[in-house]
Amino acid sequence: MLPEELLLLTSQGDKNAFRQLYEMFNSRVYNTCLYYLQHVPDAEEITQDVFIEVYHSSAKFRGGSSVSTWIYRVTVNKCLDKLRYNNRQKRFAFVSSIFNRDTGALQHDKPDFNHPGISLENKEKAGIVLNAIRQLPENQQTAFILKQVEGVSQKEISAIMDLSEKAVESLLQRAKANLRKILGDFYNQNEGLDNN
Amino acid sequence: MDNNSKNRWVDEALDSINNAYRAMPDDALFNKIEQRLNVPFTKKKVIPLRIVSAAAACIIVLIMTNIYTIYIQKGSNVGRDGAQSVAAYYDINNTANEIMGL
Repeated sequence: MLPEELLLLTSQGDKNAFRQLYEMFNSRVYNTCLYYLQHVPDAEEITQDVFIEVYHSSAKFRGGSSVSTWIYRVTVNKCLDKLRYNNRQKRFAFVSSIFNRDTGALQHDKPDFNHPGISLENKEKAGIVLNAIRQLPENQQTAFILKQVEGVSQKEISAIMDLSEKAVESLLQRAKANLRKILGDFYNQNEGLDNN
Repeated sequence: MDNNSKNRWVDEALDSINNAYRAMPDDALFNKIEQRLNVPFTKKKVIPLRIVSAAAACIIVLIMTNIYTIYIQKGSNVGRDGAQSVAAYYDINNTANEIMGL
């Protein structure tokens, strides 16, 4: 069954259709969340939020874009909201109870993230790249994650981000250039990486 | 450290995420979603940032106006009140009045 049909049935309260829609998109939504948030519990929470939003807003879907585009748009917006919320929490962390008394670590600092889909031999380098992605501006992050990680077409990215295809192309170029710069700086600061 | 080895390392690093496979969420995630769907849905009321900013600006203006008023009020009295209280303490009221030109 097509996603549009499943969404229509979902809007009529068909839980089975909703389950099929979930099966169709859950890995795309979860994976996108993982790259943005780099924290498994946060990614699971936002995946839940996305599908709950999809369920409750299914009746409002007018078909102006594909279901996939719409679900990606909801996912991106929810992830960016969560990232902003996390950043606000970090900013105010020093005002509230900043330090965990046992370890002295910042309560809002998240541990290093290991993406479950990355092979063991690539984990270290991928960790550095993920850190670099986090340093990109929001719109560059979105363009890069959707294109490089999710393999979404430039046309669909432009629909998701509500930008022209040219603007998306420019964002991607800037994202790649910035990533290369961040990674290059990391390399310069850590001599001997070339031996790895 | 030459540029070639740096570029090679950067390329390898970027490739490391290209070969990643899609992560799958926990099997129990759908049950959690279903549980949340069974709870009556109430859409959170979102107050637009513009209104929050305007309210914050009003509060700041109010506080600043109060501080300014208190400052002005005190500034006009501080010389006289200060001198008179010191004079009263040392019982030299007449001298103080002469100094103040009263």
